[in-house]
Amino acid sequence: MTEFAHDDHDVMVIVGSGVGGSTLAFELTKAGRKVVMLEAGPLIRNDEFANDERQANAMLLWDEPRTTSGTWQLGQDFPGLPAHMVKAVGGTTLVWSGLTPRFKQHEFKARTSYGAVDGSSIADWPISMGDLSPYYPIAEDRMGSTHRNGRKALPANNNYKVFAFGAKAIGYVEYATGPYATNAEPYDGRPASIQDGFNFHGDKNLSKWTPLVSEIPRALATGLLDLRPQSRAVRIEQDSLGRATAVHYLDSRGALHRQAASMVAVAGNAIETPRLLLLSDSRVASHGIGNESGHVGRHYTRHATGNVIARFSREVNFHRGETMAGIIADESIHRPDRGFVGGYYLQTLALAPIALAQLLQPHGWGAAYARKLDAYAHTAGIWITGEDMSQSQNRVSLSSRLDKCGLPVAHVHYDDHPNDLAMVAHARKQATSLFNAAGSEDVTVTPPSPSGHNMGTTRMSDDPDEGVVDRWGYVHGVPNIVISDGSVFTTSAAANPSLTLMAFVLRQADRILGRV
Amino acid sequence: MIVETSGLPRSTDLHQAVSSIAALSFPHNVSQQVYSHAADVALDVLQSDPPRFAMVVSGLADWFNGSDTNSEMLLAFLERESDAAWFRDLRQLIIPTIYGDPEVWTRIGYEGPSFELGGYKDRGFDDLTWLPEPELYASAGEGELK
Repeated sequence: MTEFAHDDHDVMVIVGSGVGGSTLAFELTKAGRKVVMLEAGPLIRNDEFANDERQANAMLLWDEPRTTSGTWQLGQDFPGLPAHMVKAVGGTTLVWSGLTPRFKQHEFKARTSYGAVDGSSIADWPISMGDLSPYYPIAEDRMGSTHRNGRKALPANNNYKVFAFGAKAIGYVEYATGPYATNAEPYDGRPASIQDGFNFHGDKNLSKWTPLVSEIPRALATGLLDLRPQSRAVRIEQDSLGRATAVHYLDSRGALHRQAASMVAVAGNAIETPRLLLLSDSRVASHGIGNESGHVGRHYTRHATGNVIARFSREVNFHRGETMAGIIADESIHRPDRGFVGGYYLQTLALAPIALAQLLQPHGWGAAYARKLDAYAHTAGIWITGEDMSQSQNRVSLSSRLDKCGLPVAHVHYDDHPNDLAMVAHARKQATSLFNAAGSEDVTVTPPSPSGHNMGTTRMSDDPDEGVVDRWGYVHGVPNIVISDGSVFTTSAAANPSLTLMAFVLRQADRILGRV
Repeated sequence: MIVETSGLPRSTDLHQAVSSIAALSFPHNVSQQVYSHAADVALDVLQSDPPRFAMVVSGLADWFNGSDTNSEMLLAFLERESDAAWFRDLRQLIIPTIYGDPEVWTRIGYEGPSFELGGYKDRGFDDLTWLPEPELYASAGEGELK
């Protein structure tokens, strides 16, 4: 294994090993740069993953405390659990669904497209579709997105059969089993999906793209990646001119280390990334790094979401096969006559029994509730994901509660915007009609679950007074710190964010390497 | 299992009460062992977290101090306590054990681990026949999914 010295000033330090951090690490090491990657969680190989909800959750999920406030129902339902994310090498992609729709042209210009929306802080991105369009196909090829660039579509599983029938019956014309970052046939040295139904729990079969099966081993093979699992970054050090000089981190025994750095990339997810910037206050950054204009942690978005779960008289067996291999794009448009701006997707969803019992009606119990769960094999599911309105007060800040290292945990405040509520109400109605058209006996609409899509907390803007990073992801006013995760998204758009994040980081890497 | 201290219910009584609460909260046609096991796990977790343990015990104090004993009366008590923090927390502790239990899986029709069996590729991931075969991709609108 490659090891660089703690005082090696020539290494780039990347904090976080999810889609953003790993993509950047691969691009840089491929180009001959030395990289130290700090990952808070352990390195777990695919063959160690468990086909068991309890074991997988214990092995993979982010288990450290957080606090919450705001009007969102999630704060009532799951008060210490604002987000669903992974703490292990590969990041939250280890439990992601794999859907890879692209963002849309009008979504990069949210303020222009939607006009002023009361109470929201939506803005245009400083980049447009044209800036990312060269990178989208590369990202799709990296991920092996199905029925993109000549790849085969995934077959229809049982949940999709219900979904597609209902979609057609209510007049939808844009639905498919993907694009989905899991192999329909062997691709990139990895096998086709065996439809084992466990892609929310780590994929043992290697069919699903994650950095763990792609970017990480490739970056390691260059000999230029020093991967340090169980290494939690706690502070970025700057010199008197504001230049980053090192990252301080704790190892698994709690010992503090200092890794010198020529440059630092923060890719810790939109909750931990602003937390690290805020923890890194100093004489040159008295309110935290990049926080001169007070935007670090603000404009937090998590998508307008919800589940719609239906019971049928006949069996569906939605637990068999790819968990979310179904998407409807008809509502992913801006058409304000629906009563809201922006759009949403409907996506197939299958939940294993523990998750279904926790989420079907958060805190539900009793005989009637158990009857709904008895119908497990007769259940079909839809997940709603739509653009939520950026709001300045929706914010990740430092809590008064301390973690076991004595550092303030992240506090997540989120108020629903009326536009979010109107969009979700519309989506629930459409999903209910879809299931009814397919003959459902009973439909349950559920409130949002802990967020898998976390964005916006180091907003990208050309104007240092309006955001934290520039159009390449460089922190304004700091020459050598970039943000390489969904924190940079100026607004949330409607689509699952991983593909767009990878495209953004590929472009960022070209900038760092002086290619653009 | 539980250290008996004055003012606390006897450990066997507490275990019995938590088993009964588990069975009333998530009643499925399964053996009593499922609920007894859920109580074991929940009480183990609670004992390692004294404030949480104290919250549940104090939530149950009215039940233990009353003269009601049968399951109907326990259900009525739980309905009154439905949104109380101690009962919400206890249910969250109970859920993973009950719905992670293969006996419950069989009952509700979940098939559990599948990787070692080759997944569902040849075991029914697409065996639904009561609806017509759908198109893998339909695209007549903007063409996003073409």
